[in-house]
Amino acid sequence: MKATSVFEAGNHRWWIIYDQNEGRVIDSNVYVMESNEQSILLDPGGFEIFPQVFAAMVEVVQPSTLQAAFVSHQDPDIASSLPLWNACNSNIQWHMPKLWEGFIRHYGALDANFVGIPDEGGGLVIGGRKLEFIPAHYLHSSANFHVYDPEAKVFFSGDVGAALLPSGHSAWVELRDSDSSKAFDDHIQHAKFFHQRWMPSKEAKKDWISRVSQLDIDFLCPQHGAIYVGENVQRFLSWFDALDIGTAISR
Amino acid sequence: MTMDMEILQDFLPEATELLQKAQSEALTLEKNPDDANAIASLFRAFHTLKGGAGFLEATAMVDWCHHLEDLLDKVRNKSLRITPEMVDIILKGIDVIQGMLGALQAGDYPTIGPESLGKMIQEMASGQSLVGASKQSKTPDVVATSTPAEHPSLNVSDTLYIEHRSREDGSEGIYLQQQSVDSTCPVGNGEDIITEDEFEQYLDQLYGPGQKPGDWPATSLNLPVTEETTVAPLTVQDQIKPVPTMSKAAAQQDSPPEVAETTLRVDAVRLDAVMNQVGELVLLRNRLASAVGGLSEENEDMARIAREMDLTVNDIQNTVMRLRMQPCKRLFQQLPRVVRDVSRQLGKEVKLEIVGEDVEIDKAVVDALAGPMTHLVRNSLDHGIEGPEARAAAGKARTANLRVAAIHLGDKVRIEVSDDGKGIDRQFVTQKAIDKGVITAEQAVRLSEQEALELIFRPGFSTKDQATDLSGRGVGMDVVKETARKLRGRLDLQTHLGQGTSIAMEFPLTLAVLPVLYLRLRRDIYALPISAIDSLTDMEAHRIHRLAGRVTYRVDDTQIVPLVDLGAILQDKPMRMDSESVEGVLTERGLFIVSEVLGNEDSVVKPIDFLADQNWYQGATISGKGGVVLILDAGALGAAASLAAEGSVQ
Amino acid sequence: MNIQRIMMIVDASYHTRRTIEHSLREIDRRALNAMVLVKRHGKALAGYGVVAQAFRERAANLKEAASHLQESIAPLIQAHMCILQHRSYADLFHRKMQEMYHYDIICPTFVRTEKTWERVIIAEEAVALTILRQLIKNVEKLQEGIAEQEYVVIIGRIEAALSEGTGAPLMRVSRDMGMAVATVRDAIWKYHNQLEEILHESNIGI
Repeated sequence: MKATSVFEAGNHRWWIIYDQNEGRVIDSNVYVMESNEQSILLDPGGFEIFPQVFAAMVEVVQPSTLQAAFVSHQDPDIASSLPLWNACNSNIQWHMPKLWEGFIRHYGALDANFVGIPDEGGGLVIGGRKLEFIPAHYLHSSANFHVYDPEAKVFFSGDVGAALLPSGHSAWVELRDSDSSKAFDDHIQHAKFFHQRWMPSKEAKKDWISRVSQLDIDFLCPQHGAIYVGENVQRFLSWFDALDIGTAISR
Repeated sequence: MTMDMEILQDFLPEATELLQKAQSEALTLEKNPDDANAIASLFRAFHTLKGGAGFLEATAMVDWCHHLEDLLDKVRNKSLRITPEMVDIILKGIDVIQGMLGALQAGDYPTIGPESLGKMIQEMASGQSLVGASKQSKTPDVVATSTPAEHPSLNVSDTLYIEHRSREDGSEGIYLQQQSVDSTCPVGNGEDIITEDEFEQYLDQLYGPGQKPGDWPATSLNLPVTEETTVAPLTVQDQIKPVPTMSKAAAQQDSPPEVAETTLRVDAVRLDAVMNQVGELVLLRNRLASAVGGLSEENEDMARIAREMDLTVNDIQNTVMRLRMQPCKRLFQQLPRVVRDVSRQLGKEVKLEIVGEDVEIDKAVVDALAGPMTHLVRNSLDHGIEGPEARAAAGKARTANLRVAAIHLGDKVRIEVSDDGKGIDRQFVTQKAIDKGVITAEQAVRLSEQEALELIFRPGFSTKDQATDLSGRGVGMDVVKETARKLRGRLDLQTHLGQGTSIAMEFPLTLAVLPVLYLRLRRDIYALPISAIDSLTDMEAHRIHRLAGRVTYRVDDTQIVPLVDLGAILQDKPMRMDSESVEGVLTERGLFIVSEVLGNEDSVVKPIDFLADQNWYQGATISGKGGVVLILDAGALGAAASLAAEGSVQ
Repeated sequence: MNIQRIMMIVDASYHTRRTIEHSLREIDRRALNAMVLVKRHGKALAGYGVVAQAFRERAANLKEAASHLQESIAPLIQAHMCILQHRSYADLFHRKMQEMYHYDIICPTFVRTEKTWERVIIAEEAVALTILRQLIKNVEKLQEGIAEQEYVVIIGRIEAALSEGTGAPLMRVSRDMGMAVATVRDAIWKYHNQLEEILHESNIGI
């Protein structure tokens, strides 16, 4: 895996660690936000890819600066590396949906330092930068949060916006020319099934879109696939708005 | 009747040189009326011009030159003596020939010269207006004379006289003169037009069989070898051998063979083609170096070849560069006449000193600088130097000194025009600039002393309310500045009230190669000429200061310079030191903020003509990596930054 | 090797790499600055030009050597993280075995699985050690490069002193060059010592 800068302004940075070498487990992205030599890990990933994620991360961020980790929901591709991270740095505070705390302990970190996020959301300050936990319940997990950095205009969207891409993929849907929709149209084919099948609630989707479209977003960062930049953020929201989801039932 | 274009093209540059020579000899005679060398040289110049004109069948010019030649012949024979009036007439006559050459260049036959002036020359030659000239005429000391009988091939009605006689300086010389049998006038006096065949024969006699005037080695006329573009094969001995009566000694004296053997005139177009090709080669060399440097595995052979290639290309570049170099003499030779005419017209007394005529510089500079040099000199005479009374009143010598110098400085040449006149009054200049609407009164308040002085280089500025006929020929100081900029020169103005002014221009020795620094501005790469850079530096936020709307940077305890934000100018987005990495490039126009400096390269400039706001750029180049990179114009960017500062205050 | 030790290498590697990157950039810029001065002042500084060129070339070599350093740091960390990962499996089985022992249950497959993990970990530790040795070699190569660079700095000081009269601020440039090189030298020397210590411990461990 490799680490690439998503956003950088002085000592305020966002990194994506992406394109894993292990093909037997679902390809996941891990994000790190760093500010004033403090950092937070977002959806730290599965147990199996931990060594790669760690090695890629320490090229850009010093592991001792990790103050906190955010876990959007309970899935293993997101949280099963928790005990290993905890072994490396037991000071990390784990922010996760309150509803899932007892489930997540099952990954084997009974003594890790957990902070539950209530259903209505919350926030956190890292290195002087405020992060907002945006509720995204039922998208797809029943207790689920996204993270918004209003200063960097980065929105971590968990499984929303996810795409299943072949190995060797880029970190970006399209970085240079987001005015053209061609790259988006090609990319979204890889996202369609994921959203149709893993996203269960039309109502949740509607509610989420109405809230998220109020935010000023430059980078929409999903946990699988590639980052939507500029015009492609709005393209994605429109596409998702029009998409029929929860298809296992409607069929 | 059609003009022989080939001969014309050969004749024109030679004629121009002769005319320049004639002019300087005339000026010499003004100071020293008995300078026999100058008299002889002037005579020969008119004679040769006449010959060439005849060859081109430009009869009006033949006539005109004949009158002048006739006059000089009388002087040479000591039947007339040079007077200041005569010099005036001769100079005016030279101007007429200049006009005629212009007509020839345009492909027209020159019209007959001005009648009144022609008449004056003839009258002067016939001794009518002669004042105090000695009647006594001395017969030339003829050593040998060839008679028509020795040249049976010549038409009997024309006689070619070849005289071997002592020159005025005591050395021996060969003189050729063709005369009609029935008149004492030389050939081509208008009434006696010879046939083409006859002229061929005449020229064969003059230049050697089969040769044309353009082939005539400059040295045999005692002309300066001004063009490096002249290299090779003719020898003077070969030329002169057919002249039967020439003595060995004379041949050696008249013709320094080492120069003649190695000069050849080459068409400047061909030279430019070579130059361009070398430019391409330099770019290719850069790309090769970059590619070799980027090889994943180290390859000793490749690296060595690249290094050797590098050296060879450097050598070629230097050699070709030298081909383009010309002495500044060509740039300066018009100035004595300018000074003479203008100072006389203004009633000022001026001594002109010329230094460094032999200093060589790129041909493009010599070509482009002729107008600006004349302007600088005129400007100094017009505005800088005071009249003799004013000078005396100020306790200065009545005669002012005007110095024109070319100085070799490493890989640069400095050209200076300095006077000991009254200097430039900053307040006067500022007030004039406000009156002319060049700047506003508010802007004027914030100008530094130097900036105020440099207002004279702004378009639309002229401190005379009416353009005089001296400085008002369409070339202003703004043009001087623009020309210097285009030639990648820097302009430097120094003035002291009451003591004088010096305007200096520094040019790179060659315009063929431009050493540049590549720099990154966010995602874009630009090049900046190294000649504009003083040094590279770190940027520290606490050294930035805002003073009266201007952003400045304290480089150290002694140096505070304007800050030029390239991000703001080129990308419309100011650089933010707190959130992006920046580095500083210290130039004479201020500290430029960039994202990163990347490296340097000897580059070749390609002109650009497709940009609307190309005033930020002085051209483009191709980097070693093969990309097109715009070359920034430090001066324009510095000016833009100070304009922006003014704008932000308003 | 315990996890604290590994985290120490990780931190030391991160710091050393940052310092080297920063200082090499600094060195490169100093060299570039010198070359600009040389170009600007023409032939008078030709002697210093050679030095500046050499300095810049060596800086590029150092950069190259430093990138090889990174090529072994990342695998070393990844190898240790694999060990950490597999150690957690082994520990898990070990713990479960003890718990079962508490209930008087003995499961031979568990014992075999635990042993299998131990063997995997020993093999992985051997791999990690090989990578560590390679890393130390790369660090030593970098140190040689720095020694060469220090030599060039000395030559540069001499040339700068010789061309004092030209008015170009070469003495300052030379001093800056020297300082940038010294920073890298110190950082890499410290890192080398840390790695040697870890190697020593690992040898004792085996």
